[in-house]
Amino acid sequence: MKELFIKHKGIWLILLNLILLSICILILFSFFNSNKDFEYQIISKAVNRSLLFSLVLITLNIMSVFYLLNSKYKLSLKLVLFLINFIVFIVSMLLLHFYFIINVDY
Amino acid sequence: MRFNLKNIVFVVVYVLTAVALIFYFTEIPISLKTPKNNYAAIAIRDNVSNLEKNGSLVFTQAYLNKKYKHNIYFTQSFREDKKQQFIDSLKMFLSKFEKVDVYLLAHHNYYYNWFQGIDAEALSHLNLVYNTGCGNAADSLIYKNLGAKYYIAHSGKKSISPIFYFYFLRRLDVTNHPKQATAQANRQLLKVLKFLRISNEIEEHEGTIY
Repeated sequence: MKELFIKHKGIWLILLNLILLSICILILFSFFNSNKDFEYQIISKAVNRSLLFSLVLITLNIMSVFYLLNSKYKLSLKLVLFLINFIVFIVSMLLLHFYFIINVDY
Repeated sequence: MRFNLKNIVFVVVYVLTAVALIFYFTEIPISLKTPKNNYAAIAIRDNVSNLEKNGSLVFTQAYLNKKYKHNIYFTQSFREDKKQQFIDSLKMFLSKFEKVDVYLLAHHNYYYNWFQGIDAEALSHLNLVYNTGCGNAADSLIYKNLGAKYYIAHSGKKSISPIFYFYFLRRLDVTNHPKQATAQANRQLLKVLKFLRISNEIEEHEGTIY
């Protein structure tokens, strides 16, 4: 198991990224849906908390790019993994963008 | 993990490409360093899904807080919900502020009926009314006669407000000129629609200023 982990670090990191991103989006959606009185403070608090998530996601994403670059996968597999990683990266950046929308007085 | 120059250059290009895409579509820097004006604003969102209501709230409230000296945002739970609160707040703003902007974030609507009881002198402080509703451009004369200096709505039968509003509010935030903001938001809107290859007829539904 340990060998498998070490051998495919890039893929594990992408999977971890996908799981974390899904959790973050689910948390945000549940906040959005449960805010029945439409209080701005509740939403802004949720978005502010997602900042940590997005920063972790971005860091892990960049790490997985390094691992993928050093891996010996087939070019086609590498491209697919890069594409998935890039999409996750864009979504993580969008989460960060939400943070900037909420804190526009920066 | 090996950090050779080739890998580092690749990661830098990877990050910069993503940042460029995000900047292009979301325009993060456009709202930097905007001075607060002395106007007030009132916004109302109609009864849609919770997710849509909260989405509108997050986006609109953030910009209203930044741009206006004072603002109130209402979210309706049924058709005539918050009517009295809206009218009272509007009256209060019109009496206290030189200019008041109104954002009607709703499907086809008849909010002009809510303005009827307010006296003409007070309504002369009405600066901008932006209406997202489909077919509400037809109400331009009503709002202009009520006293609105600018009325912005979507011509044609359908409104393309979800995209237009995103660009419009941000540009209004920076320029403070409704005409300029409308023109710029329309240009941006068409760019996005062309990119997404959505029908040209959409031009009929862009934001129009009266």
